[in-house]
Amino acid sequence: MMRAVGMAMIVVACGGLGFRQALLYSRRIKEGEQVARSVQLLLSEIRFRRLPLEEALKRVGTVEKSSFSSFLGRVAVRLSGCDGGSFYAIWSEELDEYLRQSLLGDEAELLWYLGQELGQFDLETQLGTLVRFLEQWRMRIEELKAQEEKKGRLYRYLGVFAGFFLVILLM
Amino acid sequence: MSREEEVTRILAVGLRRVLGRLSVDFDRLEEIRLRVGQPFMVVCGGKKNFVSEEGEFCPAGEAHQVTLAEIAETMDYISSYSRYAFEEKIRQGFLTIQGGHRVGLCGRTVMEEGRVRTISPITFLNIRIAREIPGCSGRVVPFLWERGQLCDTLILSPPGLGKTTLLRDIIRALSDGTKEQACMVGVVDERSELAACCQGVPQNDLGSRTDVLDGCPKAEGMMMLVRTMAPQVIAVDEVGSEEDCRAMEYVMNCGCRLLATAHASSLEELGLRPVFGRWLSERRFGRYVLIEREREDIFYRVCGKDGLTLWRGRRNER
Repeated sequence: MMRAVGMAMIVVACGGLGFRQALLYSRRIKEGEQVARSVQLLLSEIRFRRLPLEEALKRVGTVEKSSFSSFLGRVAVRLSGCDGGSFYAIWSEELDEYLRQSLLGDEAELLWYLGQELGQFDLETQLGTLVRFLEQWRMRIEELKAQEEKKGRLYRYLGVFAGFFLVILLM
Repeated sequence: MSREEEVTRILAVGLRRVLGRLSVDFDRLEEIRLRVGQPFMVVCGGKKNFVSEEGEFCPAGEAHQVTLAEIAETMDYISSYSRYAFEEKIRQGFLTIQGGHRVGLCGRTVMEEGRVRTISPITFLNIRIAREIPGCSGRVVPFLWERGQLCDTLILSPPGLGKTTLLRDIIRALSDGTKEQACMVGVVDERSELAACCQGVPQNDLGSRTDVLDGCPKAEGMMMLVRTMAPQVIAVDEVGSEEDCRAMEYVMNCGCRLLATAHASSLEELGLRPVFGRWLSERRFGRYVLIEREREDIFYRVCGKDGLTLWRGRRNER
């Protein structure tokens, strides 16, 4: 009896790990969508209100509620401090901190590039940078979504089957 | 935020340190001048002084030398790391920072189709510290009225003597005036120096009956105010272009009184400019207020439409 319970627990635990991995994948997509929403808002603030970065980032940080918008809010606070350092230096430090707790994967590299170009040149270039970022970002999210169903199913099956495999090995 | 904080926070960290050690009271500072590869300079009481690393006034050779990196860092702070948001202002050669302090810009101009597109790199900065002197117009304002009517008034002085400060105080005095003399004032604040608006909210007190059109070109703004806000008085700073003059003429002919400032050290000098010369002979303005410097003191001279002095006195620093 105890043996059967133990085997069932192994199958459930491995299956749970598979399901968790699949869930993390969909959360990564959700976080990616939040990033796109925040950057879209930033683009609108700059396009229509001509706000400087400090104020635009602060507004996005207040209006949107996500870990990415909080990151933007923290950058705005650092900018208002005028304590030395270029925009990219401030952006990089805060992005490093944000990515430590983020679920984003390879797509995060686009955020580093975005930081290099924000605040530079004229309005036209600035808007172009944000539009280009959004296009590339959304493309990555679409790719992730396309893979989600396949990979999600794979993680779930893999978890359950790994459980059964372990049970067979132990028998 | 104090005036000192408003100004020092936009300076590069290295310059901030030098200015922090300055032995002179910050309230006496009028200008801070940064020129790449040249000594750090401040203007106090009309006198130009070089400043050493220790914050002492010194000869040029011993002064802190301003670097390109320091000017670039200062520009980052002034523009909140967002030059794109100030393209038009940079094109015009100035920016106004929180508190209404004006920063003049020079450097290499980039031209496009015969027009200045931008200044890059910016290698010279002149930070002019705005001062509010509440009550400085106290002895001037009574002379701006004639038979119960406010006169169209032009304030004249060379740069840096306080035209904007005086205009701001006159606006406040008229707007908050007694029941009989209080006026609805419309202000076109193209350079954001009069009201020092932050997101449309004035940071300087312009009185309780004042409407402010912030960041709007003067000529267009004057017409907009006349059509929309029914002002009794319209105030504008630093007029001079033909467009400005056409709009001023319109304002003076439609029942509004005009308060304006212009660069000139005397009425004779003003008369040399085409439109103003004609207006002088036609006696279009009822009053002229001239601002004059004598050693370290500032004097106001109020003249009538014929150019004769009605009153002259030291600026009230109350």
